[in-house]
Amino acid sequence: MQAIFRAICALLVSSLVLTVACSSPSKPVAPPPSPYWGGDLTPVVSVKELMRDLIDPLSDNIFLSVGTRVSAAGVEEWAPKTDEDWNKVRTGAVAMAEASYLLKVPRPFAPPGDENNSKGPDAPELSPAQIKEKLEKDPVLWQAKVEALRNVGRQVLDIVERRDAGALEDAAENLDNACETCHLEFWYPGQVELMKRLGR
Amino acid sequence: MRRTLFALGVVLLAGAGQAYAHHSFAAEFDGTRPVTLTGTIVTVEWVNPHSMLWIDVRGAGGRSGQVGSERWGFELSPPNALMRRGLRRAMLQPGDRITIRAYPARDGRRFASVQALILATGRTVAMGPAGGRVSP
Repeated sequence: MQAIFRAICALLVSSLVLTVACSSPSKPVAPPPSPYWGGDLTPVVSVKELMRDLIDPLSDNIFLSVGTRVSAAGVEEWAPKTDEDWNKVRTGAVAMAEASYLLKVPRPFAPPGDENNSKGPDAPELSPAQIKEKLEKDPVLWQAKVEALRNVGRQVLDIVERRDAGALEDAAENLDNACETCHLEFWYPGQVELMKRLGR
Repeated sequence: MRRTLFALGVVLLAGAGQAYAHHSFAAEFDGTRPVTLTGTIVTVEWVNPHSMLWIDVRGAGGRSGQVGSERWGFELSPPNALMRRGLRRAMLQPGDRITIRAYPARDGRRFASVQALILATGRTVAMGPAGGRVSP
């Protein structure tokens, strides 16, 4: 009886193995889908051009949105009032929040042949190769600077949502700090020492 | 539009436009050749990322705002940073006399980065790093 039971079990197990083996796909496992809609991201311009042609001009939508001019003509204060004014600030905020992530796409730091102001004994700026070396040595720092810029964009989006013109001055200062602290790390770090020498 | 036109005007008065709002101090200004200029305040702009100041410097035989005077533009710290250094809008009024120690632009424009403002009252307001400011 026991022998018959063992034989039935062996038959069942064999059948199961055979079934699984025959139904398993022979083709390779498909790679996981890209987390991005567009697949790989391929840059068109360098970091320097991205800054000059996109991020820097649109940062002015935030920087210049509030201010005061004092002249013989009197005192002129300006801040966003109309929908058009606020939409312009919003454009700047979206650019900071989203275009900042383009800085995470590996790309040259300057166009071919552009070495920044990196020549001479007291060169004020790092060359593209020096910047690349710094980034590769500490990519987390680069990412943190990118996130700082993105955070200011998010802050300004919130200000736009609330139509809180009084908060724009501080946000503009935050934007300035986000830009400058990154530049002092990756673009012109020698400036810290220079300012000390000048007593500033 | 009015602001844009005004900004364009003052940029032209300063001599030339700047390609970037952000730039390294040393690439644009000569830290080895400080200048001291005395003149009359024409316009002050409290705006980010650089506050701006324009003065007429009386030239030889000339009078402020007339032939013989030169208009200079200066880059200062952002408005909040100026306020933290004790500078108030009432302290910089058109027509006030002012003396400015600054570092001139390398390209020969009549444009400079301020090191210190000496107000008509005699009070000196030293700038933190302005055009080439260091992070807080």
